Amino acid sequence: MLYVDAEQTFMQAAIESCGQQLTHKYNRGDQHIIMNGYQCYLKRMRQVIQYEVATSKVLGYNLGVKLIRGAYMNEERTLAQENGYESPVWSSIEETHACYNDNMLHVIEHLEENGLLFVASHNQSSVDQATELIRQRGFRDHRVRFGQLKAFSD
Amino acid sequence: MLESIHAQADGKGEGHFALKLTALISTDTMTRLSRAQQVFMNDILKFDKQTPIDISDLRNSLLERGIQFRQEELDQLFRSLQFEHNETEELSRLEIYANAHLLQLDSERRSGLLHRIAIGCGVGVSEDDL
Repeated sequence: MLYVDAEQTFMQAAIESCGQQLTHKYNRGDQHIIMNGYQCYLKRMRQVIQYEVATSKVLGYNLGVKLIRGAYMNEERTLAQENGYESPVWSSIEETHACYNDNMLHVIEHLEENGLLFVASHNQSSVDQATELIRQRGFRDHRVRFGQLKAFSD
Repeated sequence: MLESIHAQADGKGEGHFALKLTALISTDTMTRLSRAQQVFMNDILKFDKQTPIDISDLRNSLLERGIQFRQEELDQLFRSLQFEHNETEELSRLEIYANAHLLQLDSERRSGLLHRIAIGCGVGVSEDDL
Protein backbone atom coordinates (compact mmCIF):
# COMPACT_ATOMS: atom_id res chain seq x y z
CA MET A 1 0.00 0.00 0.00
CA LEU A 2 1.16 3.50 -0.78
CA TYR A 3 0.33 6.15 1.82
CA VAL A 4 0.38 9.63 0.26
CA ASP A 5 1.30 12.09 3.01
CA ALA A 6 -0.66 15.32 3.33
CA GLU A 7 1.26 18.58 3.61
CA GLN A 8 0.65 22.30 4.21
CA THR A 9 -2.41 23.77 2.49
CA PHE A 10 -0.33 25.93 0.14
CA MET A 11 0.73 22.77 -1.70
CA GLN A 12 -1.99 20.31 -0.69
CA ALA A 13 -4.29 20.87 -3.69
CA ALA A 14 -1.72 19.37 -6.07
CA ILE A 15 -1.10 16.46 -3.70
CA GLU A 16 -4.81 15.78 -3.40
CA SER A 17 -5.26 15.91 -7.15
CA CYS A 18 -2.44 13.39 -7.72
CA GLY A 19 -3.70 11.16 -4.92
CA GLN A 20 -7.26 11.20 -6.21
CA GLN A 21 -6.23 10.26 -9.74
CA LEU A 22 -4.08 7.40 -8.45
CA THR A 23 -6.96 6.20 -6.26
CA HIS A 24 -9.41 6.24 -9.15
CA LYS A 25 -7.02 4.10 -11.19
CA TYR A 26 -5.52 1.65 -8.71
CA ASN A 27 -8.12 1.10 -5.95
CA ARG A 28 -10.11 -1.30 -8.10
CA GLY A 29 -11.35 -4.85 -7.76
CA ASP A 30 -10.17 -6.19 -4.42
CA GLN A 31 -7.29 -3.70 -4.20
CA HIS A 32 -6.81 -0.65 -1.99
CA ILE A 33 -3.32 0.36 -2.97
CA ILE A 34 -3.52 4.13 -2.59
CA MET A 35 -4.18 5.58 0.87
CA ASN A 36 -4.60 9.34 0.93
CA GLY A 37 -4.17 11.42 4.07
CA TYR A 38 -7.14 13.52 5.23
CA GLN A 39 -6.25 16.22 7.77
CA CYS A 40 -9.16 16.69 10.15
CA TYR A 41 -7.78 19.86 11.71
CA LEU A 42 -8.83 21.56 8.46
CA LYS A 43 -12.26 23.19 8.42
CA ARG A 44 -12.97 21.90 4.92
CA MET A 45 -12.37 18.26 5.77
CA ARG A 46 -15.95 17.29 6.63
CA GLN A 47 -17.02 18.32 3.16
CA VAL A 48 -14.04 16.61 1.54
CA ILE A 49 -14.75 13.28 3.26
CA GLN A 50 -18.43 13.49 2.26
CA TYR A 51 -17.39 14.09 -1.35
CA GLU A 52 -14.75 11.36 -1.27
CA VAL A 53 -17.21 8.74 -0.01
CA ALA A 54 -19.83 9.84 -2.55
CA THR A 55 -17.31 9.85 -5.41
CA SER A 56 -16.14 6.33 -4.58
CA LYS A 57 -19.71 5.13 -4.95
CA VAL A 58 -20.28 6.90 -8.27
CA LEU A 59 -16.95 5.94 -9.86
CA GLY A 60 -16.84 2.48 -8.30
CA TYR A 61 -13.40 2.54 -6.71
CA ASN A 62 -12.45 1.35 -3.24
CA LEU A 63 -12.00 3.94 -0.53
CA GLY A 64 -8.46 4.39 0.77
CA VAL A 65 -8.59 6.81 3.69
CA LYS A 66 -5.85 7.57 6.18
CA LEU A 67 -7.55 9.76 8.76
CA ILE A 68 -5.22 12.12 10.60
CA ARG A 69 -5.55 15.29 12.63
CA GLY A 70 -2.67 17.17 11.02
CA ALA A 71 0.81 18.38 11.78
CA TYR A 72 1.14 21.98 10.61
CA MET A 73 -1.34 23.82 12.84
CA ASN A 74 0.98 26.60 14.03
CA GLU A 75 2.43 27.19 10.56
CA GLU A 76 -1.03 27.32 8.98
CA ARG A 77 -2.26 29.88 11.52
CA THR A 78 0.85 32.02 11.16
CA LEU A 79 0.66 32.00 7.36
CA ALA A 80 -3.03 32.91 7.47
CA GLN A 81 -2.36 35.80 9.83
CA GLU A 82 0.60 37.10 7.84
CA ASN A 83 -1.23 36.92 4.53
CA GLY A 84 -4.63 38.13 5.72
CA TYR A 85 -6.85 35.14 5.06
CA GLU A 86 -9.00 33.02 7.38
CA SER A 87 -7.10 30.23 9.08
CA PRO A 88 -7.90 26.91 7.39
CA VAL A 89 -7.47 25.16 10.76
CA TRP A 90 -10.17 24.75 13.40
CA SER A 91 -9.89 27.22 16.28
CA SER A 92 -10.02 24.61 19.04
CA ILE A 93 -8.89 21.08 19.69
CA GLU A 94 -12.51 20.15 20.45
CA GLU A 95 -13.56 21.14 16.92
CA THR A 96 -10.71 19.08 15.52
CA HIS A 97 -11.71 16.07 17.63
CA ALA A 98 -15.33 16.43 16.48
CA CYS A 99 -14.28 16.68 12.83
CA TYR A 100 -12.05 13.62 13.17
CA ASN A 101 -14.68 11.52 14.90
CA ASP A 102 -17.51 12.59 12.58
CA ASN A 103 -15.41 11.72 9.54
CA MET A 104 -14.40 8.41 11.05
CA LEU A 105 -18.05 7.56 11.65
CA HIS A 106 -19.03 8.56 8.11
CA VAL A 107 -16.29 6.48 6.52
CA ILE A 108 -16.98 3.40 8.65
CA GLU A 109 -20.72 3.67 7.92
CA HIS A 110 -20.00 3.56 4.19
CA LEU A 111 -16.94 1.32 4.12
CA GLU A 112 -17.37 -1.58 1.73
CA GLU A 113 -15.56 -4.90 1.89
CA ASN A 114 -12.66 -3.83 -0.33
CA GLY A 115 -12.22 -0.35 1.11
CA LEU A 116 -9.75 0.51 3.83
CA LEU A 117 -9.74 3.05 6.65
CA PHE A 118 -6.52 3.70 8.50
CA VAL A 119 -7.22 5.32 11.86
CA ALA A 120 -3.97 7.17 12.40
CA SER A 121 -4.48 8.57 15.86
CA HIS A 122 -2.89 8.75 19.28
CA ASN A 123 -6.21 9.79 20.77
CA GLN A 124 -7.70 7.10 22.97
CA SER A 125 -11.27 8.37 22.61
CA SER A 126 -11.10 8.19 18.81
CA VAL A 127 -9.62 4.71 18.92
CA ASP A 128 -12.29 3.57 21.40
CA GLN A 129 -15.04 5.02 19.19
CA ALA A 130 -13.59 3.32 16.11
CA THR A 131 -13.45 0.01 17.95
CA GLU A 132 -17.09 0.36 18.97
CA LEU A 133 -18.16 1.30 15.42
CA ILE A 134 -16.33 -1.74 14.04
CA ARG A 135 -18.19 -3.91 16.53
CA GLN A 136 -21.53 -2.32 15.67
CA ARG A 137 -21.01 -2.89 11.95
CA GLY A 138 -19.89 -6.44 12.62
CA PHE A 139 -16.68 -6.24 10.64
CA ARG A 140 -14.78 -9.51 10.88
CA ASP A 141 -12.03 -8.47 8.48
CA HIS A 142 -9.26 -5.86 8.49
CA ARG A 143 -10.91 -3.03 6.57
CA VAL A 144 -10.28 -0.70 9.53
CA ARG A 145 -6.72 -0.55 10.81
CA PHE A 146 -4.93 1.48 13.44
CA GLY A 147 -1.55 3.13 13.53
CA GLN A 148 0.45 5.47 15.73
CA LEU A 149 3.79 7.16 15.40
CA LYS A 150 6.31 5.57 17.71
CA ALA A 151 6.89 7.65 20.87
CA PHE A 152 4.03 10.08 20.17
CA SER A 153 0.98 10.65 22.36
CA ASP A 154 -2.04 12.95 22.21
CA MET B 1 13.03 4.49 -3.02
CA LEU B 2 12.41 1.51 -5.29
CA GLU B 3 14.89 -0.52 -3.25
CA SER B 4 12.95 0.35 -0.09
CA ILE B 5 9.70 -0.71 -1.71
CA HIS B 6 11.21 -4.00 -2.87
CA ALA B 7 12.66 -4.62 0.60
CA GLN B 8 9.28 -4.12 2.22
CA ALA B 9 7.15 -5.87 -0.36
CA ASP B 10 9.06 -8.67 -2.06
CA GLY B 11 7.87 -12.10 -1.00
CA LYS B 12 5.16 -10.65 1.24
CA GLY B 13 1.43 -10.52 0.83
CA GLU B 14 1.39 -6.86 1.74
CA GLY B 15 3.83 -3.98 2.04
CA HIS B 16 3.38 -0.47 3.37
CA PHE B 17 5.18 2.57 2.03
CA ALA B 18 4.56 6.18 3.05
CA LEU B 19 5.42 8.74 0.39
CA LYS B 20 5.98 12.46 0.68
CA LEU B 21 5.50 13.75 -2.84
CA THR B 22 7.74 16.67 -1.92
CA ALA B 23 10.59 14.15 -1.86
CA LEU B 24 10.09 13.78 -5.60
CA ILE B 25 8.80 17.23 -6.61
CA SER B 26 10.17 20.50 -5.27
CA THR B 27 8.12 22.57 -2.82
CA ASP B 28 8.19 25.46 -5.29
CA THR B 29 6.72 23.36 -8.07
CA MET B 30 4.11 21.82 -5.76
CA THR B 31 3.12 25.27 -4.53
CA ARG B 32 2.65 26.62 -8.06
CA LEU B 33 0.74 23.51 -9.14
CA SER B 34 -1.48 23.81 -6.08
CA ARG B 35 -2.21 27.47 -6.71
CA ALA B 36 -3.15 26.69 -10.32
CA GLN B 37 -5.32 23.74 -9.24
CA GLN B 38 -7.14 25.93 -6.71
CA VAL B 39 -7.74 28.68 -9.28
CA PHE B 40 -9.04 26.06 -11.72
CA MET B 41 -11.39 24.59 -9.11
CA ASN B 42 -12.61 27.71 -7.34
CA ASP B 43 -12.36 30.56 -9.84
CA ILE B 44 -12.92 28.86 -13.17
CA LEU B 45 -15.23 26.01 -12.09
CA LYS B 46 -16.68 27.93 -9.12
CA PHE B 47 -16.45 24.94 -6.78
CA ASP B 48 -16.86 27.11 -3.67
CA LYS B 49 -19.31 29.62 -5.13
CA GLN B 50 -21.97 28.12 -7.29
CA THR B 51 -23.55 24.79 -8.08
CA PRO B 52 -24.23 23.51 -10.61
CA ILE B 53 -22.47 25.26 -13.49
CA ASP B 54 -23.07 24.91 -17.22
CA ILE B 55 -20.85 25.27 -20.23
CA SER B 56 -21.53 28.99 -20.56
CA ASP B 57 -20.18 29.50 -17.03
CA LEU B 58 -17.02 27.67 -18.03
CA ARG B 59 -16.75 29.66 -21.25
CA ASN B 60 -17.13 32.96 -19.40
CA SER B 61 -14.60 31.99 -16.74
CA LEU B 62 -12.01 31.15 -19.38
CA LEU B 63 -12.67 34.35 -21.31
CA GLU B 64 -12.39 36.41 -18.12
CA ARG B 65 -8.89 35.03 -17.62
CA GLY B 66 -7.95 35.58 -21.26
CA ILE B 67 -7.60 31.86 -22.00
CA GLN B 68 -8.07 31.04 -25.68
CA PHE B 69 -10.01 27.97 -26.79
CA ARG B 70 -11.89 26.47 -29.70
CA GLN B 71 -15.51 25.41 -29.27
CA GLU B 72 -14.64 21.71 -29.61
CA GLU B 73 -11.96 22.07 -26.93
CA LEU B 74 -14.49 23.65 -24.59
CA ASP B 75 -17.03 20.92 -25.30
CA GLN B 76 -14.42 18.22 -24.74
CA LEU B 77 -13.27 19.72 -21.44
CA PHE B 78 -16.81 20.12 -20.13
CA ARG B 79 -17.72 16.55 -21.09
CA SER B 80 -14.54 15.19 -19.49
CA LEU B 81 -15.55 16.77 -16.19
CA GLN B 82 -19.00 15.18 -16.15
CA PHE B 83 -19.69 11.69 -14.87
CA GLU B 84 -20.35 9.21 -17.68
CA HIS B 85 -24.01 8.82 -16.77
CA ASN B 86 -24.65 12.57 -16.66
CA GLU B 87 -26.67 13.47 -19.75
CA THR B 88 -27.64 16.92 -18.55
CA GLU B 89 -26.02 20.20 -19.57
CA GLU B 90 -24.83 20.82 -16.03
CA LEU B 91 -21.79 20.06 -13.95
CA SER B 92 -22.27 19.30 -10.25
CA ARG B 93 -19.95 20.13 -7.39
CA LEU B 94 -19.29 16.41 -6.88
CA GLU B 95 -18.21 16.05 -10.50
CA ILE B 96 -15.83 18.96 -10.10
CA TYR B 97 -14.40 17.40 -6.92
CA ALA B 98 -13.93 14.06 -8.66
CA ASN B 99 -12.75 15.05 -12.13
CA ALA B 100 -11.23 18.53 -12.15
CA HIS B 101 -7.52 17.77 -12.33
CA LEU B 102 -5.38 20.33 -14.06
CA LEU B 103 -2.26 18.17 -13.95
CA GLN B 104 -3.43 14.93 -15.55
CA LEU B 105 -1.27 11.94 -14.61
CA ASP B 106 -2.68 9.99 -17.56
CA SER B 107 -1.05 11.48 -20.65
CA GLU B 108 -4.06 10.54 -22.79
CA ARG B 109 -6.24 12.88 -20.74
CA ARG B 110 -3.95 15.89 -21.18
CA SER B 111 -4.99 18.52 -23.68
CA GLY B 112 -3.82 21.78 -25.15
CA LEU B 113 -6.63 23.60 -23.37
CA LEU B 114 -5.69 22.19 -19.95
CA HIS B 115 -2.13 23.26 -20.70
CA ARG B 116 -3.23 26.81 -21.49
CA ILE B 117 -5.48 26.90 -18.42
CA ALA B 118 -2.51 25.88 -16.28
CA ILE B 119 -0.50 28.79 -17.70
CA GLY B 120 -3.51 31.08 -17.25
CA CYS B 121 -3.94 29.96 -13.65
CA GLY B 122 -0.42 30.96 -12.76
CA VAL B 123 1.44 27.67 -12.74
CA GLY B 124 4.36 29.54 -14.28
CA VAL B 125 5.18 32.65 -16.24
CA SER B 126 5.75 30.81 -19.49
CA GLU B 127 5.25 27.43 -21.08
CA ASP B 128 8.89 26.65 -20.29
CA ASP B 129 7.91 26.54 -16.63
CA LEU B 130 5.53 23.64 -17.09
